Amino acid sequence: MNRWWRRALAVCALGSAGTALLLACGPFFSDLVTVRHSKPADPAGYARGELGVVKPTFERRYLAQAYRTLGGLPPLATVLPAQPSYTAPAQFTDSFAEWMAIQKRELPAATAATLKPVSSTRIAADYSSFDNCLESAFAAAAAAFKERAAHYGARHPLLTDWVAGQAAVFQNCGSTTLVLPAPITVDDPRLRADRDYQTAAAYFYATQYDEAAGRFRAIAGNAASPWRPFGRYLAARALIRSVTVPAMPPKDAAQRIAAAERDLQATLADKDATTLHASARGLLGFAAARGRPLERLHELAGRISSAPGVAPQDLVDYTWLMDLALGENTAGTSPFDLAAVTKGDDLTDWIVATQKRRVRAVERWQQTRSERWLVAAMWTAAESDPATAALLDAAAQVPRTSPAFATVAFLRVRLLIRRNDPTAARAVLAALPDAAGQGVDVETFNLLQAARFTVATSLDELLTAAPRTVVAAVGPDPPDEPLKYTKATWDDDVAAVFNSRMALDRLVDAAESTRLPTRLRHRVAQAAFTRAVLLARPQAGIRAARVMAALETAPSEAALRADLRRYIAATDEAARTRIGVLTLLGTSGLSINVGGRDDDDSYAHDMPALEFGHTFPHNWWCKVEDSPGQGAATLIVSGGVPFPAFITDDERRATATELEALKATGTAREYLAAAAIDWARQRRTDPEAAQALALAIEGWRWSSCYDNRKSDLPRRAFALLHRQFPNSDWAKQTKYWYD
Amino acid sequence: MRRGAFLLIALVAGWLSLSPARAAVDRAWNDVPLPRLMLWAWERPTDLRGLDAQVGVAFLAQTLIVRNDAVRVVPRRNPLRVSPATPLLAVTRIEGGGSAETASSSEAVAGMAAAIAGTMALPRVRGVQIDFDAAESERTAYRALVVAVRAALGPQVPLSITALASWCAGDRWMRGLPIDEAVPMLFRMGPLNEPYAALARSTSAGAPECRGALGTSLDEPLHIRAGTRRVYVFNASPWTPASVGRAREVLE
Repeated sequence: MNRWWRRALAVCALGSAGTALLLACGPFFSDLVTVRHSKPADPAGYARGELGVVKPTFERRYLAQAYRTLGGLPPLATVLPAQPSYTAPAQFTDSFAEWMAIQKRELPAATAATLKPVSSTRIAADYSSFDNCLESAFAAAAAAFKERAAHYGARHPLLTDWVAGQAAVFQNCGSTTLVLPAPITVDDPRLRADRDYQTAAAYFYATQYDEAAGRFRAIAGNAASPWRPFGRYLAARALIRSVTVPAMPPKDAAQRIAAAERDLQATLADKDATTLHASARGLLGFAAARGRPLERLHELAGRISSAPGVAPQDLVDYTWLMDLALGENTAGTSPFDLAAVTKGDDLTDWIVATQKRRVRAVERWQQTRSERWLVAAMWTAAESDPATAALLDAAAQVPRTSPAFATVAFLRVRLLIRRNDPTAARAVLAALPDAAGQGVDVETFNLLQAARFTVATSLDELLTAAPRTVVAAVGPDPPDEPLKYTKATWDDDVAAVFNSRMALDRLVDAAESTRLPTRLRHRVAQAAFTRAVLLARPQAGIRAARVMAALETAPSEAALRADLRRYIAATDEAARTRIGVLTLLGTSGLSINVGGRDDDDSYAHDMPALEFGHTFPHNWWCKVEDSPGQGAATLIVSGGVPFPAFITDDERRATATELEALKATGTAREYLAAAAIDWARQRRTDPEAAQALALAIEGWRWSSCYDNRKSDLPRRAFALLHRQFPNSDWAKQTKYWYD
Repeated sequence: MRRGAFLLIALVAGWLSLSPARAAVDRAWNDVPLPRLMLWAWERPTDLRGLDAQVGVAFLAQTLIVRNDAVRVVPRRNPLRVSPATPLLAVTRIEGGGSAETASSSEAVAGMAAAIAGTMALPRVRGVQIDFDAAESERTAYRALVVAVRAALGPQVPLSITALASWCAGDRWMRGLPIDEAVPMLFRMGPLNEPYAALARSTSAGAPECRGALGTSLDEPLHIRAGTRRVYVFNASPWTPASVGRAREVLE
């Protein structure tokens, strides 16, 4: 579960459990990512053909764009998906209301009394529902009424008859019982044609699609009917619904779809039906995708990989068909052989080879020597692949002007790192831009910095390459106005190196270095200080505390600064340890971890939180965070972040020992509650011991660790506080303990 | 927000409170003719044909979206496939939204009640459940709605409501509601669940209305002592034979 969902759940849970005033969940924080995996970091630029680093994890519409652009075709502005919109059921629309008003006004009371309320939605036997009668049906009925009112005259009996027939049609929208318009009693040719049409429509909405299709075809054959041009088109719609509406498609679904296609082709050939042509073409695409999916897939692939422009629906259909072809839908299995999916279809072959990391990618590159297949092959080739040398040579020849340059440059470095050739990787990186905007976009530069971070040969180099730039805010509730994220950040992969690949002394060195921007430097300094307190390493603690005290300049941090100065100035180690513990107890934002990926909440707060968070309980820490998350390192190396090259074997052993010691301290609340209890037992009249106990009890409540371990610590701390310091303000303020 | 929509419901609360349906339902909590294990089936394609008659399904039948004085009924979109022997409870979820405006019609509450009661017409449904996280300011209106639903259903149809855990732990506002059971939702509660954990462990803790059932989630297993209580199990993922098996373990 990713972090914004965890927060969302926490917010919902707090609201529902703690108060009855819950109206809605939120706000939802956005993750500030430095690399995107499923979409381009700069969608607008991507639509213009500025590809950046193309990733196999991209949605296929973006890979299709990459295929075109890498092959020299003009980019598709339509590659960006339209924002999804909600279409209300017809019964909540103005057209519905207009028709209902007509019905109410025009029908005699006795007729109206026989009608049931109209629901445009139909509920099926499997409890599902669909919008049976669409808004356009009610709009068309209202328009037809006006036309017939002009023809017959207001209050004419035939007009009333027509309205009664149409009202009967709409009775079928939500009802499970067929309601047919009454037969006409006056031989009026126009009304007869209308009644034939209404009857066919009634069968259609009653989901009796075969009967409806037959009647619509009969109308198509009636040259005297004003509805003739609609006949074949509506027959096709009936046939398509006969396949899509039932819970289980009929056995002859393919034949029905084929018949629908013939009806739609006939509609396109009918010059009197031009108003229906656009819709017929759309339905033909729909029918082809369902009736001849593989053929349609290749047809669309051919269009996407060669046409100057592609309709948005074609991209939607292509990606839908790819999901089907690869079994990536609710069915879970593909109905096709993969060879048939890719045969004779270079676009589909390229996408499958890139995403599935198929050996075929290297073979195809060897056959074509194209930049398209070079990209696919470099994502795919294992470091031991005999072709890697040739791939690296080819990558070196890709000019900076090529749309493949950013991808190939990154992949070249990646492959060298994976081949355990950091010297060559560093040489390549040295010739690549050292800032965004010098021919590479922000995300590409982040990726290059991640590579530099990985092959750094000194702490100085590593710190120089550590900062990243936010490329996108990702979450369910993004800001209305895109924000400018200008502050330096980094991702979980960078934090994981500090957290699990460096010993305390290195952390302190990093904190003391001025290479890092202030907010990132502080992240390292506070983790070093916290670890120093837990590991009883006063000299490291003093160095880290000095850095923190110098960086925390805001008036609101005066208390923390004072604690840090007391820690630095303590005259004996036992006192220093107690002050360290009290500093941790009183500063909920301190942690043994260097913070990783920002969200828009953490981005706004550069310094550690001083009070316990209640709504978002990010207090203290639970364990050492060593996961690279979805940071750039996951695209470079596999199996977690490696030790930096300059970390010696002795340091690696020291790091392991420290991590074991930190693990042994348990969660923050366990360590701090136990420390407070020990303190109070040893110094029975120390007023600061009362403070430590009270803060430990409060902090226990607001811990973010859900370890499910039952502990006696909060009860013991509570008992000790009230037994030993009954008259203290801390005891008076602490009325409960929480397990 | 939806408070406004419910203002009108509050206006008719007095009228409804005089209706005969206000009479308490003369049935013990455990007499509701539904199995002790009920699986919540929410808005996704669901295939539970493998269940025996000892496990029921409470499925989302519709969502009522209340905005101002308008109520939109959004029926279930996804198929639910069950064995003919599976006891079914039709759940109506109520959601609010929109801006607060004065509303004066009693049509909204009547419409909502009719829509909720109307789910009894769905095939093989044995009872209805209302899922509404009513805010404190909405309780009077919600009470009126429940009374109206009871009036529409009659006294014999099982009527269940979901309940925030706080309603069962200390906030006894449901007293006298004409319902057969209130189901405390003992999941998605986060770190503030201390007062409510007792509801999971004890069959006698909490408000009387809440003593016949409880709701839990497969991804947040609590230590539950179900006793004779009916247990509703939510699954954030699609139901599979394996997850149904885990739901059975909750009862055990």
